[in-house]
Amino acid sequence: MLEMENCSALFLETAVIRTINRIKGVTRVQDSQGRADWNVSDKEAFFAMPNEKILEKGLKLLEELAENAEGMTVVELADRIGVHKTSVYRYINSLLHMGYIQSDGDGCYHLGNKILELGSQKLRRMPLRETAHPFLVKLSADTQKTVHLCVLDGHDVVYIDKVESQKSLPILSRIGSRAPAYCTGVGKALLSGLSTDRVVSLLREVTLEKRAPNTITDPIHLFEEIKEVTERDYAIDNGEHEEGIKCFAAPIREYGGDV
Amino acid sequence: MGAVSLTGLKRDFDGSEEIEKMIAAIAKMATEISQTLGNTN
Repeated sequence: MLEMENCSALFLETAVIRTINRIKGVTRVQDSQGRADWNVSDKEAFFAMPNEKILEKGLKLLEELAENAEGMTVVELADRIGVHKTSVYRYINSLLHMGYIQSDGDGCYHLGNKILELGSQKLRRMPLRETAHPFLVKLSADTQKTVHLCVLDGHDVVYIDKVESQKSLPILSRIGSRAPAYCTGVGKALLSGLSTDRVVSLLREVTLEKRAPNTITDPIHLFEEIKEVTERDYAIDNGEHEEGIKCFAAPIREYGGDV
Repeated sequence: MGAVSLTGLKRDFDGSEEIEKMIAAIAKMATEISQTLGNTN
């Protein structure tokens, strides 16, 4: 059914094509305003892509836009997600129509408000965040420091809440952003709640890049550090993620003691 | 489930007494959140 729709779309689009030139055996086409310039084999490649791959590339496009607050052009997006710009135009049209992205009118695209809606709904449905928030506000006011709440997602921590005091200096973290678990206080606190096998497995999967002067890049050293965190029930990030920044973290345990 | 942290400039955490105070504060908050969640669920 989808293939039939794709074929219909192809026919409709072909109807507005003004010029078709044969160059080296590949059909190159332009739209009625002379903007697009692609070859038919690109289009065929797009339609031949399995549906799950199309979805994957579309979501990757959103992730790239999320990482680039200043916006991205079609050419930049094509380069980053590894598809022809013709395909990027197709993703953009659908995402613009649905409100997931928006255009600044100068050829740059940004995330749309629909993303904000989805993110807000997700946050509102997190009882951990809702319960913890008043505690974060109080501790930030008492200490005049920045307080974070995070969860583990794969090898990363995701910041699901952040409260800054008026006196604290701005910290790079943002609600919804990620950081590597291995070099953050919250990450080490979260890793301390995993089984030894899981920690070993995670440490094998991830490259311990030196993010700051004190980042632990030796897996054995890091494993020992996480064992210590498990025993004492708190973690310290001593300038391991950001130079000059120190952080004290503690795991939030469930009723049975799991983190 | 989750983890909490208290973050600041390294120079703001001078002295072992200040560090102990911060560790105690963050550990206390984590326990309070855990207990509140336990009571809620």
